[in-house]
Amino acid sequence: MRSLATLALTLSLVTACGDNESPFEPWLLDTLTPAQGVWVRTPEFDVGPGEEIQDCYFFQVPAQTDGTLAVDRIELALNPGSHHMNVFRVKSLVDLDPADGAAIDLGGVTGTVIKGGECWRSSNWADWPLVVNNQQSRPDAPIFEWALPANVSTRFVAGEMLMLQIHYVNAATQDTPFRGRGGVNLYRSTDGDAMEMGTLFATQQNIRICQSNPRPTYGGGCALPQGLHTVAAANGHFHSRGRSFSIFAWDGVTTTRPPDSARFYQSTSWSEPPMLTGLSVPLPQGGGIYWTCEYAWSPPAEGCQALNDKDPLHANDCCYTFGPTVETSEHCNVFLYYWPKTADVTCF
Amino acid sequence: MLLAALARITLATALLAAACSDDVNPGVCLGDCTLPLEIRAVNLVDATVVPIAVTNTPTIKPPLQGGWVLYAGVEAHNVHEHGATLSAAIRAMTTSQVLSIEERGVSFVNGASGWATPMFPTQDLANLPVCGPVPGPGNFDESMWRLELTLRDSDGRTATTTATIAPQCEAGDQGTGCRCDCRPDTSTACTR
Repeated sequence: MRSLATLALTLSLVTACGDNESPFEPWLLDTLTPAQGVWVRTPEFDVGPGEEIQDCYFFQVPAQTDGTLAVDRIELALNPGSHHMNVFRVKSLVDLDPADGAAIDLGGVTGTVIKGGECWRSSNWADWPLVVNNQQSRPDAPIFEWALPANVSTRFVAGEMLMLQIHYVNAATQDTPFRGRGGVNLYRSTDGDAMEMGTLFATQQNIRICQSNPRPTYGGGCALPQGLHTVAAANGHFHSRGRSFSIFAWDGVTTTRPPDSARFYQSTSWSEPPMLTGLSVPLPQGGGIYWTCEYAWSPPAEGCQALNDKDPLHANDCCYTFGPTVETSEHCNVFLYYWPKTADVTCF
Repeated sequence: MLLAALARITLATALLAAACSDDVNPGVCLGDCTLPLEIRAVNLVDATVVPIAVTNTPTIKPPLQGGWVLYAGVEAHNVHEHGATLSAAIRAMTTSQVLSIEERGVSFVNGASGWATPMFPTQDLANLPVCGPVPGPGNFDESMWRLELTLRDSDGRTATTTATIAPQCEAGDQGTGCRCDCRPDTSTACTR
């Protein structure tokens, strides 16, 4: 079964990539039995020159014997070129409705897909809690494996709707040398983990990186609910103007940036930011995190007019502003995982 | 293939060179920058920057990605046009708990009042996230909060001020979603 799948993938890549010089070894995740967990695979898709693709795949957590699924190991796989892959729990429906999608076979589950369009509009998933995310898509490391901390699991209810969002870029700042494709394996926990993993998603929405002010920094705090919490994993996300992304433990009282000694995450790689797992960072009671994004303006490949046309303030200053498009906009997003869960937290 | 590689190297070099270019030019001093920096707290009420001493009811607004923010910051005397950093925090009145905190670079222009005022209201005021899934105690928009503001000018001079604010959702149907998210303790069903 596995060898047939590998052969099919290899053939499709040879067809798609023609004379590409780099050998590409397709990633392969195990298919899971229902007793082992849930597996999801997107189809392969082309990402043409100059294109940015963002698609939203929806699927439900399959029926479970006791109605719930606890997961303590996760694998996420991506073909090279991916900008991100995020999984969210679907909550309020605005203009991104799974029922509006086209039916699709996702391997271990069936679901629907909405390509582009409302899948680009982040206000559509503003209250959808984060499940897991991945920004790692290096050819030499296409699979991100994460064993959750001992006695901790991520929990789902049977029938719960999830969204797998995948973003590929093949343009000036990032390229997709082969074809796009993503996969997820959620491994069932069988050892009775007592605690649940919670997530925190925070973003700075009003950012500008302008030619006249080329080195801006934005910072903010995000408090967790009352209780003692420990950070298990974290990663930051910005685009190619991003120079340094930091996350600090914050006491929830101090109104200045925490000292360097409180920093537990730093990334200077915008295209392959580290996902730190294995963390065990206690957060102060009543506190949370403080994060900063430092940028350096650079001339846009598409020219300043493309940026000026999108600037809501019409400043005519070649400003990158908040948005999902890698080439012409910027982000400042925190993805953080903590235990024990009190609530899934969003700050924006 | 070689040309493509060369093009990429050229682009990368250009990007690197641009990234290493000069930092922000602070521009002219609005006032007399040999004198102490002076600030007064302002907030955005509807779409207008208003001194908090006049009106302290910032409007809670929906930003691009969803959620809710209010806008607050400072007007200043003796400040440079560019390169200042604004830190803002909303703190509970009865505890030391900070509900929301933000830091950003801000720019000023001469205002009609004689104070240097934020160049762009939504950009050069702090964007403070409020309400949402982890709200403060009680109904956010029906409570008073302490606003703490610090401005650090491009030459390192700082000034701090505090004020009391009473954030407001927009009136009528426009504010329905805001009242939903900012009043988590409501016993009635919250319909948007």
